Amino acid sequence: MGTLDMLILQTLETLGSMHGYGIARRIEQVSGDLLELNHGTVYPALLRLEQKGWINSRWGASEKNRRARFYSLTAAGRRALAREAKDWRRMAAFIARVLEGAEGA
Amino acid sequence: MSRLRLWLARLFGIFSGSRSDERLRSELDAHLEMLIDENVRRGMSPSEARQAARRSLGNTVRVGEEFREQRGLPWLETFFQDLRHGLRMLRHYPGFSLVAILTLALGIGANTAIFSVVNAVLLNPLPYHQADHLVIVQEKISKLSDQAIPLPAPDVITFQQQNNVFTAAAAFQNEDFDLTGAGRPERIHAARVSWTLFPVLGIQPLMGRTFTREEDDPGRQVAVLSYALWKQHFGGDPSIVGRTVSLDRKPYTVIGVMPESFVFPLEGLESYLDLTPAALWIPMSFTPEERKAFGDRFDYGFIARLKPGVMLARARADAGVIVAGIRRQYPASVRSEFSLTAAVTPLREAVVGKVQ
Repeated sequence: MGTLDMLILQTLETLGSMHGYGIARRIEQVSGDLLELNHGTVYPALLRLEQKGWINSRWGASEKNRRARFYSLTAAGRRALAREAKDWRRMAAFIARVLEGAEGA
Repeated sequence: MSRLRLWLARLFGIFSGSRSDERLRSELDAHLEMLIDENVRRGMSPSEARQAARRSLGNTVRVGEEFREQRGLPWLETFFQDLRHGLRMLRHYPGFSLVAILTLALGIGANTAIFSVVNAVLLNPLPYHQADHLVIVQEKISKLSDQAIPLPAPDVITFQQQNNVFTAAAAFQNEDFDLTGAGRPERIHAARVSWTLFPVLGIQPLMGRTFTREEDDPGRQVAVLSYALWKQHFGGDPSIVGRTVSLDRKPYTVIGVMPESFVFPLEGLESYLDLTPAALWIPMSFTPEERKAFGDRFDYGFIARLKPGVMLARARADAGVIVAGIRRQYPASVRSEFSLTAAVTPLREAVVGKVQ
């Protein structure tokens, strides 16, 4: 799973249901505005996640009563996110241990 | 599982084209509006806000391309586009198209024909030991027809006794029987064969043994089973050797079973005889009447193995001498009416002759 895919899944887990703009802004915020995302890139990623069955979408009304497409996690998507998060944490712990070792030496 | 879903979605995505483009466009428009609103809230002027928003959104053309690539199967879609283009070109140049299509048709047709022959001749091995040394002997009576015909029983014996070119030879004839005495009564195709048949073909039985000379001449009621019959009618009974079966209510003792790959006779071995592969084999055991039927009842197939180093031409010459001797035995009055010759054909050719 790509990094962007994981960020999107995580965002949806936190925010529940959200449209493309909201997802992109949230990712920017969470990354401490370090990530200057080209917002357009979320759309192919959202399509891919939908094709995999990890998210689904429907039309809804945004805050300004504008028609927007809202995305949310599916059960399968939740499971995929949990799996990925576990892998990431394990990887992070491993790297941390390696670095500790390197510093100690 | 999600991978499967992904690929299916992409396959169907090929067809969802314009609706999907619509959807992306409205989403991008909405997204842009929301960006502009935020920028205005931050204090930018409308035109600044719009410009900044465009920058944030990024290259929408590029987004559209990536989106479309993700949606379908680009390589497949490109292929179809090329195909449509090609078909358009063909319509524009009908003369050229016609030539191209005819050439392809001829090429494919010729290729298929050649392959079937090669397949039959080279790639499908005959189920006998060194099958390239096996030949069929027949006679030709010029007055009657050009077609080679089976031998009469006395000629079978003459060829067996007088030849110099065969290690061994055997005669065969199909016969049907009612098989009773074990399992369901069944009508089967069987074959009477000389005791030398199995040595000529060079295949050992799977179980038991094949005929001895005495079982052929004077003859005994014994039978060798085919693998198929043993499996299907006798349920693969491991103690089949020694059991008695009835053929047309006469008792025969089973002395052996042949391996699964063994088939005899093969189609093509004799044009005039009914030649379904036999379910079992019994000794030829010529009757006194058959032995006397000179120049009559041309009923028996004849298969022989060439001695090592003997070429077909020599075998033909030898057969020619033998058949000349046979001809001389016909009454003088009859002899002048026709010419009798021998036809020696390699087994492979005789069988392939069936390939049209």
